[in-house]
Amino acid sequence: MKKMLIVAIFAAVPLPVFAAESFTIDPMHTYPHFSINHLGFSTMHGRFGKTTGTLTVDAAKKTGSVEVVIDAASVDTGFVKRDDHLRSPDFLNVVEFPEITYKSTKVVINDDKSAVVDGDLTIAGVTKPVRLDVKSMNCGINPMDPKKQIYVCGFDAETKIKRSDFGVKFALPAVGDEMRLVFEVEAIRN
Amino acid sequence: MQAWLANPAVQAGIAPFIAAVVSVALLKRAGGYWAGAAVTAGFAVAVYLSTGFQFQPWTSTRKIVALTLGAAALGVLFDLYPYSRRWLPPLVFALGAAAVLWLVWPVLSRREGLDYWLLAAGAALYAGWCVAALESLRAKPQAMVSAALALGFGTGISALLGASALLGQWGIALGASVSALWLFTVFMRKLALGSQLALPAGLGAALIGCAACVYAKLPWYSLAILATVPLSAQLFWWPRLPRLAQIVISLFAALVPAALAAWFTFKETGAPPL
Repeated sequence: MKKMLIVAIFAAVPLPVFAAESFTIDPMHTYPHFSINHLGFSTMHGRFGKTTGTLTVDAAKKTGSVEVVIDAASVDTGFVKRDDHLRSPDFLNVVEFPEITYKSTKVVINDDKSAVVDGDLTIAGVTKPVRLDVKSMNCGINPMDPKKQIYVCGFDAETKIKRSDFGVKFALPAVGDEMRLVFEVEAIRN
Repeated sequence: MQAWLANPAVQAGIAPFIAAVVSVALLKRAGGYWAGAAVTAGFAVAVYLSTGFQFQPWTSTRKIVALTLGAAALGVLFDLYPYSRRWLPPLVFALGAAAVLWLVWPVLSRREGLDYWLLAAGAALYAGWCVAALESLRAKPQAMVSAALALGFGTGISALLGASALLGQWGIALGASVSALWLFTVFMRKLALGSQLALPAGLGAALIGCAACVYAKLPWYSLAILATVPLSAQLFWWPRLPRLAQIVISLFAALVPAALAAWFTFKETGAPPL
């Protein structure tokens, strides 16, 4: 009886929540994209159409985590033949390595809404540590939601990598080695 | 110099051809079947210039490099074997089939039922056939070198059109390397060719073709057409013909299905993106 009373008291009294909040990435508002120099003439842009993943935000501790899974075959540069070439073993080798992943190892959220994310980026089966600079992290209720219940966190992050570090060496140095990667992510609180 | 070596035409054509010419010039003095090793020298130069030698993690392209170099090493052993080699074609057929199954295993392991067996049987038959058919031309070195040349160029150009420039480069590099051997065969009366040519050229071309089909967009029927190259190279084989006429006719006959394969690939996929 005494035990039941204790349990009932703990169940009834709301405890302050310090745990990190978890979010699911919204694929409709998350499009990783990239840019790369083409033969020294111009900068080509492309994006990935299918992205999934999760993130956690611990506002109190100013930290969190992020895991992103990109469907490598969803690469889209606006030209089918070039996309087929990017999917081939020359570049992303999507049949053998269907996913590009990023998994954070350390997240530091700054007071000015910026953040620094250290993590492991895997492309074509090769994993390398990559730091993402998050320029602006914003969280709040989605104003388009009529019930005002959907809580969203979004951020813009970017980094630069060398594709040769991931074994993607085809057409070097004619097609640039350095790639600018931009992650524009929105995630909905679970 | 660096810009010159970075040019895909140099990597796939000029450099492998020069490497093969130098290799044949040096190796022909050793006699035996050693001249055939020139194709491996040319292929190795193309790999070195395009991607370098790196084998981890295992990808389809790295498997192609390792298996082709392995086939070349095996070719040396088979050429040094002093007794009858009647057992060689079935053996290299089995080895070629096993090699291609390892190459396509990441895709094969995800397939089930009819799709699984179609890919497994198709790839194994194609690779086994390419290697065994070239190996069985040991007694007709003019036909062997013509078939190897056409198979290399046909596979390379088809793979290039099938949306993999790297595989295309390597196929063309095989063809360019064999071209050097072909020229020496034209001008030298006694140039013996054996497993050191047949294994790396046959297996290399077969693996490149299968990889371009499975991992890129090369249509399967282009491989079916390329499979007829070793047959067409000996289609007009008249022993009474002069040697020069024989080798030229053999080459043209072998190039017909190679060109057809490239044409059908072009009809299916269009021009490669530049």
